Amino acid sequence: MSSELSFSGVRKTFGEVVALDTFSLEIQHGELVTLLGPSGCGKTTALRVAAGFEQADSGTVTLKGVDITAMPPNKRNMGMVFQNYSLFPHLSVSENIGFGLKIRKRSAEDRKSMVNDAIARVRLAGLADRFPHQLSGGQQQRVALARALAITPQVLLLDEPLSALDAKVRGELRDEVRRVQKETGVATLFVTHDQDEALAISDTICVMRDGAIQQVGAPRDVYLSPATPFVARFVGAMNEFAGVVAADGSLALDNAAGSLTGRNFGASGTKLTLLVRPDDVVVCAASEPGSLRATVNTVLFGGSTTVVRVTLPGGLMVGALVMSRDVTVRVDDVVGLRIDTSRGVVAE
Amino acid sequence: MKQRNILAKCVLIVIGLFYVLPMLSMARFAFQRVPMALLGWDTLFKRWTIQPLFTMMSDPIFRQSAFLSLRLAFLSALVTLLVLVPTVVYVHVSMMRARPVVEIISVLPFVVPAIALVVGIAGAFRDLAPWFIRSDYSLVPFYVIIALPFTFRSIDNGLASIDVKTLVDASRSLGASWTRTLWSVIVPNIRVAVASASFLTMTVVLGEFTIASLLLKETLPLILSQSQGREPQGSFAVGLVLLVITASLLGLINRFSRRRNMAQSVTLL
Repeated sequence: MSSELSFSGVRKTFGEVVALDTFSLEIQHGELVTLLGPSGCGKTTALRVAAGFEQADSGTVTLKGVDITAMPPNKRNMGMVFQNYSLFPHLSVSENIGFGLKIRKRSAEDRKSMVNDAIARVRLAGLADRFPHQLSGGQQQRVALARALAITPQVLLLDEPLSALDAKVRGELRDEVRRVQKETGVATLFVTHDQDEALAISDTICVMRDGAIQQVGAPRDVYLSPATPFVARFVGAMNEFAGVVAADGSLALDNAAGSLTGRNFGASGTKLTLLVRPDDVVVCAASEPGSLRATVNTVLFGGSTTVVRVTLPGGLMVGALVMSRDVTVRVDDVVGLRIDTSRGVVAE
Repeated sequence: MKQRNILAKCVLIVIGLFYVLPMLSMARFAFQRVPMALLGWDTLFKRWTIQPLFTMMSDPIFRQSAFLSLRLAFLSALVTLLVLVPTVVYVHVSMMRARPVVEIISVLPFVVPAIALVVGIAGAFRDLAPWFIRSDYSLVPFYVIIALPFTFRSIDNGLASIDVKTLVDASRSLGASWTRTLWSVIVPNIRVAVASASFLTMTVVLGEFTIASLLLKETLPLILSQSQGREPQGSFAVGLVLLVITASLLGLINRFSRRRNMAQSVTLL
């Protein structure tokens, strides 16, 4: 089965800067793939190459097996929602949504019915005659989504469409985007630098760094089994334990903070850093055998969960994620830490 | 604060008088059948007439020159828009770093004297395309160039007020060609700037004297200048009417653009 959208060895440079380096990725029908990475990692460039706004220096982009690398953007039949509000200011909501249909020379009757469907799909009934400046940011992005979907695109491209919105609206619209995407079954390429957004919305996450792909996988895999230290550090919070491997294979932490056991860290004398998620750190009694001794520094209540920050001897700060109802410690308490090293990622 | 307001109003009144008084004097000279030596307070309301305007307008040479100037004004505005809008949009979308260079080029007509422009271009085209220099429409490229400092700024400001790049990308992603994007998305959103650029070009054309004179074309300003000795009241009357029409158009543009900006700044939800 051929994929809906496919990048194969795409390279794109801007002067000396390599924005995409042999970038290869496939998006299947009905799949929502998120390009996740820090600013300047090439995720927006990949999206713009898919849309046809940027030309790849080498490599190919195919749409249902057809090479579209050199095809102009207006011939690609891809819907796009932008980070900046991109509604045409001089057109009403219904005219904005009908713009692509008008270009496709659909009859006025067809247009009206398709526009009404699109408005209903994004739950904006009653706002059809409003102009963009009469809508909130969230409503404008809903209209932009309806406009992109009204042309029945083969691929939907979303370029950080939620980043200009406040947190509450962002959450609501994120769910809305996912619902509409599932309803329509359109293959979707979503760009974001927000890891929570990526984890919540995606079928597949593609983590990028310096124009290259670091890991492609399901959100759960990317979070729980990061392929590289960069992915581990970028997706979700991480504790970093630096030390030297002891003769028995345990990790002797710097500044005599203690040692980590539970797995063999390799050859004796090797310097390395173990990355462990706060979810894999358990706060226990200081007297518990094999635990690290630490002093509670801060207790950050976050609703259902609480982050307990502790300091190890030598000053290393460690965070532990605890269910709020189980938190019994207070600042300056001396506690023990149990660390599940088997799930940690080793960084050299 | 109050003192500053009073000062600002005083400055405005002085500037207003500086412009309005000569125009009032011009109006009295043009539209009153009173000898100039007798134009005073006691004759302020006596013997007003628009006859000089009709006299001037019934002159076939004047009518010919007026129609020529109007044709040149419309053509110059059209060529300006056809050349300038796509160029400045392209600069905003793809070559923003080149904008300062384009801006400097746009003010060159202020630096290069009209006579140098005419001598250079006429010299080049006299042998290559003599029909071009002979034609009245050879003035159009000159007018487009000399209006550039005003028209570029007008279009550039209009484009700076919208997110051109995103609008172009959105339109293209929806299937629109470049031409369709320009016509259906960009131009409607900078219509005040387009109207300003058009009117400014027309104003420049209707007032331009040097180039038309050097190329021996009988445009309105030339005929008005020549008829000052023959029909002084008529030429002043026409000049004043042109001034009022131009000022009214520019006032309307200003008012319309302010109303539009106010409407856009209101977010209801």
